[in-house]
Amino acid sequence: MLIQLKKFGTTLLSRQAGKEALAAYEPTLREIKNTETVEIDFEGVNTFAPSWADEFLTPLLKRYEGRFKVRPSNNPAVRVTINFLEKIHHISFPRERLYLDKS
Amino acid sequence: MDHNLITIQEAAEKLGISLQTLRRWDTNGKLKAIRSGPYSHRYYKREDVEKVAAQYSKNLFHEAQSWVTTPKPIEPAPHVYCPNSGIFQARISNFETQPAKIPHLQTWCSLIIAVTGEIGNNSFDHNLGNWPDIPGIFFGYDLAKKHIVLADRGQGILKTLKRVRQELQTHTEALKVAFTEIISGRSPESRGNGLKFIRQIISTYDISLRFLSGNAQVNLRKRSEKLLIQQKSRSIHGCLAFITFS
Repeated sequence: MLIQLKKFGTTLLSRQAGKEALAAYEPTLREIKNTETVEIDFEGVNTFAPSWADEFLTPLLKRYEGRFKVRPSNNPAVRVTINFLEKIHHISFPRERLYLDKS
Repeated sequence: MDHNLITIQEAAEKLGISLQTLRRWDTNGKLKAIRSGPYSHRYYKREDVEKVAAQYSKNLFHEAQSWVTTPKPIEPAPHVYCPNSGIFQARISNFETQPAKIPHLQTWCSLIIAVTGEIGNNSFDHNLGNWPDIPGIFFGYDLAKKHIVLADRGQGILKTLKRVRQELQTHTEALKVAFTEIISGRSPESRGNGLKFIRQIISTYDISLRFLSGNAQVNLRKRSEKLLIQQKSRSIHGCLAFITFS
């Protein structure tokens, strides 16, 4: 399943909004099959911050461990946020091959 | 007494500054007092104070600083006041498109918004249900001057961090922890760490931050990891942030 974050808005900043987004998306997540890959697409997102991401992406990474991926993004806020969450939680968001830039 | 004269206490409250500052301004001529009464107390012409207050309000930082220092809780002006996180979200979404109009900011303006969002949302996350007086935040920006100001009259960093780090005693210690230590497992809180994220961005991009809480101030200069923390003589309610970018 491909999850397009722009469908939740273009300004993804607060914990509250991240929590609400995940709760609202639960019925769709129930459709994911046991072996299906879950990919996150950041295209169309203007602003991204750790508070929102920690409420949405971190739980999904834990839930779909081994079949969760993030797509490449040129948006520096996306890149810095992903790297920051990895650092504080000692986790790793698997990237697609194109996503080589960890700076 | 002349009705056009007000006491030094009233003048201080109108301007949101200390009595000491007013005395200094009297000495250096910035705002002259009139000596009156048997004890030669300082009084001020109402119009002189209003003139200075008008100049002051043109400066967003001073406007926010006045709001977080005044002992009397009052709501900020409507154009900078976000009483709840929904209004902040709406205003930051509107603001989001602005820095991108400045050509050289186009590639990284999302980080300016992310920094602003983390500071503003931190205020709401850490004070929800516990606002000491005025709920919500001050959020203003001046793109010509390339700065953003955020403030709240919340509990401040020390009180918030004490819930998970009870040994903290001073505002300077609390700010140091907030900007440097990754606090994991803040049970029952899952929030925090936003200020570390901001420090990481500042170390790489042309963004600077002055952040005050209680009687402590942190300065983070663009493209530097150096943290300059100092104790101030005067304390503020909650937090005050001044972001500049170039």
